Amino acid sequence: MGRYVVRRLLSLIPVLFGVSLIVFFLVRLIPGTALEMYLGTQVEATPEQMEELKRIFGEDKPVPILYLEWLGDILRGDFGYSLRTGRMVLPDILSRLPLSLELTLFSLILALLIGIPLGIASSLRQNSFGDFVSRIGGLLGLSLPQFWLAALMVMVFSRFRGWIPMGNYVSFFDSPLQNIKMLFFPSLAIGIGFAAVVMRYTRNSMLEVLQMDYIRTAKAKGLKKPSVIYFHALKNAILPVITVTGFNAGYLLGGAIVIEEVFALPGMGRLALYAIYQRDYPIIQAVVMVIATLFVVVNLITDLVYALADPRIRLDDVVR
Amino acid sequence: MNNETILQVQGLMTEFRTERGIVNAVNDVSFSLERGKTLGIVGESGSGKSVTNLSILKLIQYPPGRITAGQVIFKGENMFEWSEEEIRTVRGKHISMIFQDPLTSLNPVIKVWYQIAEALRLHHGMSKKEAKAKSIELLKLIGIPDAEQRADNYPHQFSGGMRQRVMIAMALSCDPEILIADEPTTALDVTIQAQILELIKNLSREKSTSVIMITHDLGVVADMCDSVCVMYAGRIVERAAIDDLFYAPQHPYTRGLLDSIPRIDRAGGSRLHTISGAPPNLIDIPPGCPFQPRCEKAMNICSKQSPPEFIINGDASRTAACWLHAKEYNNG
Repeated sequence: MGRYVVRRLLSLIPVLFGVSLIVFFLVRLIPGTALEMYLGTQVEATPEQMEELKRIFGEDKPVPILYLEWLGDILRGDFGYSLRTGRMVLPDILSRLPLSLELTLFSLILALLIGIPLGIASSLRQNSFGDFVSRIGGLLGLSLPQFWLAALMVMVFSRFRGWIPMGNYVSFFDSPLQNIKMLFFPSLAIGIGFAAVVMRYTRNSMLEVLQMDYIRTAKAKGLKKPSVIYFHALKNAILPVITVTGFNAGYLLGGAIVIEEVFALPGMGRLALYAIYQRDYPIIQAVVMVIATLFVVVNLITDLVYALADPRIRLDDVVR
Repeated sequence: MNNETILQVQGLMTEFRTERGIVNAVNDVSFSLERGKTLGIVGESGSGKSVTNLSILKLIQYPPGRITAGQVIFKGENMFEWSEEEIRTVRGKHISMIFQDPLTSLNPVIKVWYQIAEALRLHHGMSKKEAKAKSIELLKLIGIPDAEQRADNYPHQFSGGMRQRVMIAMALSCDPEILIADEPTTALDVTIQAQILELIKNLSREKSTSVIMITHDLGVVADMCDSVCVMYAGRIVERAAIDDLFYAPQHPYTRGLLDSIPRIDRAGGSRLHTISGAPPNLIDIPPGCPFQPRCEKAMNICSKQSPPEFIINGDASRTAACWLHAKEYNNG
């Protein structure tokens, strides 16, 4: 197990190298350079001033050279300075990371809390009216865009009802209740689509497992219905749900980026969004590197959880 | 020897609703089981032998399966009149089952000892600790080496034969009065088969457990059973004490089955006998005897009317559902 974790963490190195390559060249493919965005269309500058600005904005050398310089910097832990604010990139990102992580975690928990019970209930009453309703609901949840749902929530719950507290973000550790109040609806907006996915996976997986021979064995032992369903069946049916949760955790993090903007939450996503508007390359690059790292870590955690849940999986054998 | 009847199945009918129509899997089946005896139920795949026995404990999944008629009388009471909850308390405690494929019949993500202990905790109210100790004891009894360590294993860490031993330990944990073994050796190697049968035989004899042995293997029947029911197309076509079945089979189907066994005392070189044709489609059973299209001795009446079970030699436990015995029936 320990060896497995170490190997997986070592795999971060090639992944991050690849990601750094892609993101560095990709952000420079967006039309308009950082300097052009900074200057706008109105400003006149002398050629000497332009040279100086280009140097400051890091546009005075060929892109491959710039890349190698940047790579050297980040290997030393230096992610550079924002082109707009002049502040150091890494501390800015790390200070905003907890909010984004919290949002992602909450939406994940909400999705599982909604999706798993509904999926079980649906599978137990297959093709009943309730099953039908929850499947339609699932389809809707999948189809509604997060940002639209978020905007709707802001309108209804914030403007008309005042259920979403306005004002500055409060950390969970300072005031848990206020924090949860602030993050509940944003998390719901992010998680509802995933709740639908979880519901459908749980339902299908339960339906399959309930046909298995070992369920018949459990019934033949005289076990009560709840222990057949919630122990014998669910313990098996949850396995594909774990896998899909792992895949989607990264997607939820991506959702957080847009939703933070809608609810005006000062997370990493909002930082990234503004950085993209302004072609603030160092910030975009660093955010993507952080997200890639999180992605690998989340996948690792998923695999570990899966191995805990399914005794047939032995991680040390799986490693190539 | 006391001949107390412990379980009686009467007029059992079980059907499955499928897209192509209603499958009459079990069609008016009756039999009785005596305390301490082993009853064999033989038949080919799809003859309804498993469904019959799943019906006894109402383990048929609805939909698509449904028990439409019949009674199951256990110690004088009709279980089909009981509530689901009352039947549940019989399962695993008074009547327990062993299934065909021990790999798929054990839960892959639950430790072996826990699966054995469940019934003990439920029916005997044991604590977790007591039940674990008893499970380890049972594992030793059924011949699992290093039972203390192996108890914490999961089913996939056991071999096929050991898994079936675990199934047996599970089924016998609460000392049931009846053990239903549904093809317990079909998925196993021949050498392991003999060990498993021996184990079932010894354990059931020790506790004088009654056994219903479902199989398609006449060798198993000869080895294990006191009496036999032969099933074909959802009905019992012949019932007999073990020796009568092998030495004086009365139904053409039974005769065909016995002739299909390779025999060591018969001259080599001769081709093995086969019953021509295939079992009928249970969705539209034609009128008349279901075996008639394959029967070498089919008569006119066979395609028109289904034969009742004729009693042979005045012994109610010796019957054959075949028109060939109509005369004996009329005379006797």
